[in-house]
Amino acid sequence: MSKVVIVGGGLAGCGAALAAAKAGAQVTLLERTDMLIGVAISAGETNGNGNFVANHELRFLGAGELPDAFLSIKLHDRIQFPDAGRNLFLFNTGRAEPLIKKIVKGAPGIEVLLETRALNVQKEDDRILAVKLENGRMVEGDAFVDCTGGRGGISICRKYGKGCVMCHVKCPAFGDRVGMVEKAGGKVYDMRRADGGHGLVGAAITVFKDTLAPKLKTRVEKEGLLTIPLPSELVDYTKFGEMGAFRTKAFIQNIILTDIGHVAKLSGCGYITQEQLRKVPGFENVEVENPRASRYNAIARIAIAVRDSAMRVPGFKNLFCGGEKAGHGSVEAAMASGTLAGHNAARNACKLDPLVLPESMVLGDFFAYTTEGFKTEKGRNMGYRMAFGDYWARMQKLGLYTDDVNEIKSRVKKAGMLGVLAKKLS
Amino acid sequence: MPRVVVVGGGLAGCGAALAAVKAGARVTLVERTDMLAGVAVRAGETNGNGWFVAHHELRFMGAGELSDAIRSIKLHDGLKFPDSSRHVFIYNNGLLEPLVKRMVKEAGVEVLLENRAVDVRKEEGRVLAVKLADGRVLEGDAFVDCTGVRGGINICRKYGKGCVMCTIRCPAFGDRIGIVDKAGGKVYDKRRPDGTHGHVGAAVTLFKDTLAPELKVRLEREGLLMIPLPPEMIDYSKHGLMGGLRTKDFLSSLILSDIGLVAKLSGLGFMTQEQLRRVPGFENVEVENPRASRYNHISNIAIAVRDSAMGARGFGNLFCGGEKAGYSSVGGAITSGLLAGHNAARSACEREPLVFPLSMALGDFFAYTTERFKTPEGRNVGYVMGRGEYWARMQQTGLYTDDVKKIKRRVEEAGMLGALAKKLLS
Repeated sequence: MSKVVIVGGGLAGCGAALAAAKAGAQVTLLERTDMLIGVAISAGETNGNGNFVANHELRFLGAGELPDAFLSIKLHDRIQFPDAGRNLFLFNTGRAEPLIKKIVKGAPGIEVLLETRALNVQKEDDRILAVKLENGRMVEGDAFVDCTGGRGGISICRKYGKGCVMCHVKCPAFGDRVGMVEKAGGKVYDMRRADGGHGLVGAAITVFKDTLAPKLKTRVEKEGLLTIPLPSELVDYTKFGEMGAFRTKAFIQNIILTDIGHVAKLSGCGYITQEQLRKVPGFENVEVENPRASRYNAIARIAIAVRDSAMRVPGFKNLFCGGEKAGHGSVEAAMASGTLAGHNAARNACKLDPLVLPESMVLGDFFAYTTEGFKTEKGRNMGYRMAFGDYWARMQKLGLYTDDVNEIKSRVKKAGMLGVLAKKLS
Repeated sequence: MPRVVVVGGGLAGCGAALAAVKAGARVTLVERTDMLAGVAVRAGETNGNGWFVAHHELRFMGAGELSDAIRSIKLHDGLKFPDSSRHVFIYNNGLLEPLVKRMVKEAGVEVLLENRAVDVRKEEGRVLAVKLADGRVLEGDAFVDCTGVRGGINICRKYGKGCVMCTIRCPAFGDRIGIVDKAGGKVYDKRRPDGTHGHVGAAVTLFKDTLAPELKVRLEREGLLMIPLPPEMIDYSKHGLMGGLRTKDFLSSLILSDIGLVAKLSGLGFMTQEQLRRVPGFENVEVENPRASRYNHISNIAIAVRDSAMGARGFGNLFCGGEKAGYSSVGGAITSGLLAGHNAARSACEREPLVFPLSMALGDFFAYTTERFKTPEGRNVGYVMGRGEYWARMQQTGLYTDDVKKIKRRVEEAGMLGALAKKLLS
């Protein structure tokens, strides 16, 4: 039986593990902390605009477990963000981790090793043979997937911001992120801020709901989303470029506050300090849950791998990547790129050519377009999202967006892709 | 005007700053993070048993502000903990920090947030200045070290697998640096039964919204719940890890209290999130603190050797309070911090330090524990007025009373009425 090793148990790594196991591989998923789903534990929103199509394509491809899981813990529906309104819902973030952990652990053929940190790779020419764990153990495999993400560790956060990633992805005592692509000698790059600084500032902060004014807490729990104008002296458009400018300026002018379950989330204010926030009516006593540093959320978008649209890392016979490591930072793109990377790792282990999703599908066009985009300096600093910004505009222009589920199904079918990710390879 | 510099803005540091200002000193409070109140932001319960007496003694000595402030944000009253039942209440932890910050600032203390003292300048037996991370030098006539005994992350990784940042913010702020240590004063670590340095922080906090909904409702209504642990999870051998301050009841049950923004589990600082999820009602729980997997942060590192006036041994003008002085409770931090701050002001005015008379509970407490800290065995005991060895002594010696008039009379007879409220130079 072929063996696939996945490093990093965020949403992309979970998608990769599920897809590779489904394709018939024996899978080992390595995660340095005690939790899966990574930074998705404070994601909150999903399914908006084009992500609706992507989620349905995943289902028709035969890999709908993760989007279905989020659907099953829906908390607030029909939420109108300034830039992404259609079909968007908020999920109960506190429920996501235990649920997805159960799904991944329960899937036949997946071995989950928590609190297990991969530190290096062993390779022969252009083939990865094994990853080496912190405890000295070697985990051998036929193909490997790097889903180690692009945030932190703390040295990056101290150097390029004054943030700390641990708020999302647990304590630095677990040990910093170590990327397998870099260790193998593959090419990686950092996104840059407008001023040339490495990495982007994580764009959201979360707050303890019980430290909001009681009325505000009640309202956000009832309505799901509140738009609260920021006092003009706190509006700072220069911060726009620090967070990659994925979102509209409405997110700089307002506090876009959502109830994501165990905490409330402010989208697009990743640079605001707790002291500043306390100047806003209703936030006088607020305590920020994340970041626990004073200024700037985690530094994200560090060490993104150069890869092709099949999620394969060039220069290696059997190395793939997904999620933020592949440049994709949203819930949906993490799931989709991870799923494709895992499937292709399984194909590779069976000596099959990698699958490239056809461009008649949103996910096919998205991966092809962004892979091209990432080849240029300008494109590398863009965040490509199916829900807003550059790619969402493209999607509508090309007519790839539809909210007709039958239409999505017929496209997947026409492309010959119906259920391809659900089939055992051998 | 005499100048006092207090390093560390936890509850003890805040007490020290308030007392020194009241005595007429110009005070600078240096805090490495952006928050005051330190680990008290997750403390919750206070005032149990003997602390009731200490609170009233403070009030009659003219220094009741801090403990009054904590009373003003009472959340649950009349709670029956297994080991301290009289007078206990829980305060709203989310409200503590902003409240204390306002008080300290309004009192005229110069508060330097996000400023880290990294070294001292001294001459024989005297500290002249502290040096900040940004190179600035703060001169003073007397100094108070309230830097605590928890973390930093190196200690947590070395002696456990925890991380202190959950309570006192991100390690990106920089690790704790003790001023007594830097001055060359004597410090010691508490030890676990196996000789390992430091104790494991004894409590775990949880996001309330990740508890089963009916459990959350009950907890918020009743304030305190005692939930028997499944027998296979009871591990009395862990008692010594946490310093043995609590009774074994805390190992056989989940003692769950509602402290406002989160819920708190007392006495189970070693339990992992994965273990906890096996308990009915906790299936989806997410631990807020520690964010590490096992063991809360390591505490009781580098406690200063000092006298019962809180003076660090070997220095005429260096004092310490709170955990640095060996007192790890809300009551201990406030009382020792106030005395340290007052005595720093006295030292700056070239007055002899004040020692509380033995006829008062606080006088006996400081004298008794100072003696006990001199022996290796005594050092590993935790001393609080709410339970354990000292609470037993308090009842035996007759120092405990719930008669407020009697407490006043004792303070009066000792000549201490209003002693902490007077300006020293006028």
